[in-house]
Amino acid sequence: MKVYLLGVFICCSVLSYSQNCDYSVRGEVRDIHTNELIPFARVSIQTNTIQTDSNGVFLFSGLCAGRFTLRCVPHFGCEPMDLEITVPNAGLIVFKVETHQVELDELLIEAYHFPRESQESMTLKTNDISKIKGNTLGEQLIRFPGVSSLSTGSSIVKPVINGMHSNRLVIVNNGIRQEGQQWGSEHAPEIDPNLAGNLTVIQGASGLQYGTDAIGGVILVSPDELRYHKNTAGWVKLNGNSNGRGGGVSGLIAGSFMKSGKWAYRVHGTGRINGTQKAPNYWIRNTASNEYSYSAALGYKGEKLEIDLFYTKYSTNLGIFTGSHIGNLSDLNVAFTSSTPKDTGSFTYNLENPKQLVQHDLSKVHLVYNWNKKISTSLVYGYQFNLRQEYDLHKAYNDSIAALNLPAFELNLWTNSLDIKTQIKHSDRFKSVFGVSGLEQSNAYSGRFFIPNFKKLQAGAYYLGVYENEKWLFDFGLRYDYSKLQVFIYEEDVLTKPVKQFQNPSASAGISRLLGHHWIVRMNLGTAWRPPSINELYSNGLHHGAASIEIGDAQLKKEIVYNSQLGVQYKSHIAKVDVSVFYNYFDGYINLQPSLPPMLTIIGAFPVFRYVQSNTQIYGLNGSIEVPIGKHVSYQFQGNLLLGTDLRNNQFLYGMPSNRITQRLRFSTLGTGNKLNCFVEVELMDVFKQKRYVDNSDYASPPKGYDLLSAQAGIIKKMNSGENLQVVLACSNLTNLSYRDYMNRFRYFTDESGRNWTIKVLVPFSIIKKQSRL
Amino acid sequence: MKKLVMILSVVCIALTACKKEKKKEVTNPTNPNEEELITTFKIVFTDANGVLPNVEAQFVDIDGPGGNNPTAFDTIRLVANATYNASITLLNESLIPAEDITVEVEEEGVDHLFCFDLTNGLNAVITRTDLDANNLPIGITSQWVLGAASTGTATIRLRHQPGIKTGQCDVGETDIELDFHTEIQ
Repeated sequence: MKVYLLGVFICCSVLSYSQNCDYSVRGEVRDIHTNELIPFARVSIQTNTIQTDSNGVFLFSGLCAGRFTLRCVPHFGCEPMDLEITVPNAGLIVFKVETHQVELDELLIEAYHFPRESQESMTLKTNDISKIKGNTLGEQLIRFPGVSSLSTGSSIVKPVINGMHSNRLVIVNNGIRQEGQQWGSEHAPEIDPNLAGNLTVIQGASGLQYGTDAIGGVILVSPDELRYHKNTAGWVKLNGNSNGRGGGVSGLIAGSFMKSGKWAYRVHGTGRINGTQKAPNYWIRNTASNEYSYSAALGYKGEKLEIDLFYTKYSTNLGIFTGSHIGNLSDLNVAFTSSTPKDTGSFTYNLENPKQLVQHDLSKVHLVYNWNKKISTSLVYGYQFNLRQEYDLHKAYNDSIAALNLPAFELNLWTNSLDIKTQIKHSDRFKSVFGVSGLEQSNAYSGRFFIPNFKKLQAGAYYLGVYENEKWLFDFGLRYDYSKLQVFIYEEDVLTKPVKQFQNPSASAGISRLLGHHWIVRMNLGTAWRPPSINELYSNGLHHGAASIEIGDAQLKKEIVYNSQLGVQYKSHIAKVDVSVFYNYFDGYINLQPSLPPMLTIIGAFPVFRYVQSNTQIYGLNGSIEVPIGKHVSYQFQGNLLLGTDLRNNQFLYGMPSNRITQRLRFSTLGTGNKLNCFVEVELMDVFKQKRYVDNSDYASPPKGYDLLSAQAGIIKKMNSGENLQVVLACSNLTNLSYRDYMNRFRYFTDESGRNWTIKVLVPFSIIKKQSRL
Repeated sequence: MKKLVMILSVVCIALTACKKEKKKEVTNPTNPNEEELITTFKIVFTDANGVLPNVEAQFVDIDGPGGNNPTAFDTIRLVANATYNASITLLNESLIPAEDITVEVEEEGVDHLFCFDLTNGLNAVITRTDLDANNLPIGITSQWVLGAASTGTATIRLRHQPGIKTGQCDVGETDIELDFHTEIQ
């Protein structure tokens, strides 16, 4: 009898164990950017919705065993986001979400903007070295849909968003609009992405907060928030690469001091050196480079008042491939016809002429005053100084001038900017931002004339609003800008001071709708504009690197874009899909076009290019599909299609990136907690030949398409601090392919770099004070 | 209150630290024409026998590449079957007084080479008559031995060949390239 009862008891307990629906899951909701706990965020499992407590902690109980989708319910706290969890789950689940508070502060529109495949892919963490490639901002952003790059040799890389670059992109460095000589296609952004922490792309006419020029979009380069009330932590990053035999070291330390923790600091530094790059068959002469960057930030965060000071310096020395410095058209033709450049070099870390020295200083004062829980005002003052020196291949004939070793020309750009904005939270569903901004800028050159001296004044005012409920989200904004440019230029040996004034409104309206749990549909309409830039108005001279004479047109009008975007996202554990289409119509698109006849100079005849305006359309499609194959493997397909037409002349638009497809196969282990994880990723990028070009409009027809194979493998270990220790070995151009890219200005002269092995190590550290535990 | 004073003082320091002196004059730039330019190429032909009159041809573009068009681009007119000694002069005439750049080219003779190319049918043989420190020709002076009457183009180039000069024209970059219409009468 006893045995029988025992048997029944065991049976029952086994039965009840297998059907046990009494599990609980504990977790916390944290901000993906700041890692801060989010109180009162709504999370759900199946139909059960609860709120996190004031410490951002949630507890689900009465759960059965199995796999569930933990969802952050879209509301003001966070973006709709899913996390797959397994029950039972003994650990503390950390659910990182995109919050709107952060966005309202800096990236208001981004959250609602399409194409936002997921928060992860539209915001990149620069410390996620298992996903990020390259050392420059331009290379690192390529992972975003619609982003490609424009390069000059291998060291100067600029980001391109849906075919737009340079003057048509705004880069915001830690809250300040970066003001360098960004008009030049061989002028890379003067930013060390290591400091950034986060890289975010905002597309469409939505960069309203950041003023004019955001035609292609806004790139936000933002460091993590200062560590108020937190312990000291930081990281050290080391990397080495085989091609160029170079390497870099970067480190950051941040923490708070004084007992209250209201004061915090952050210091960072980066140094990098690279030698001559090698194409598969030869050394690409004079492609060495070196750079350093450092920054310091100090902040105070009280109940009402927040203040932070920031200073950063960036400096780089870049060698310019010698074979690209062309005397005239005859030299250029010789360069085209030879498959190998005339003088290839040997390996060196030294730079010879032609070369560039670029330095950028940025200082910032940021004040925030929280009037009450609903209203806060912020003020940002920024001062920037940009120095650019370009050295020609040819030193001066006059010995005494040559002995000074002066740059062929030097540009100095000083910028003062002030932005004031007030944010009002009318209700849980409706928020507004009112802002004004002003900018004062002076440019001075010395040496060879390329762009004149100028003074620029800009002022703007804007309103942004966001309304959101469980299903719908509306965002809208309006801005008006005024820009005044005074130029100091010699005409017939007489100094003249013409003034150009431009003003125009910008507007944006977006709508997004959640359909069920898996779909989001987004639409955006907007208009943005930019005044013509200084080079488009006044450049007049020989561009050595391009062997052409570029002539500006002082009569150019403003360029206005009307854009529309439509996107769909699907997300579940079967697949992640993001497809978007966009159409941009330009009123007065400014483009550099060939103009006959060639100009006769003492150095021979040169083709002449003039800045002209015409109405154009640029449209395309960006898509990405990610499918998990089994437990450990995922496959991603990403494609960009871009078409541009000059409507006035009814021909293809020059200089659009060609279409490309990227496929990635990633294997990764799924260890949770502090377990060691490893991953292997293989990537194949197919870049097609640009067939949409006008015959005889370029020196040489676009290079043929290519398929680039790269791979990387690494280990990731989560440390107690929550940060990841990472070691990654990567190889780009695995097959050592000789190829040329249409968006590289040196495509006429030399192949791209060959195979490159890279080893990257990221070591996070965190210092916990012992006395605090006592 | 103490805190506020502290914050304000930090702000003040930060702001003053930013106010660097503007070293360059923005509103009063230097006239770009005062920069080093080769504005003028002049070639003077002297009859080797001292009988025929001198012939001079020049190219003048005072504001350098871009801007205004060249003001002079002469035709070279030489007498058939004569022998001329030619001498090249390079000037920067945007400066007053004009700067003679020929001297600098001569000093850096080991890095420079003048090249003369004639279109088919132009009956002339050109020989450089000067030498640099490495005993390679420069071409500032040359001898032109002419044949029968003919017409064509004489392309005169100055090649800059720092460290790579071998006497051949195909290396280096172009400092000057002018296609002179040439008539041998």
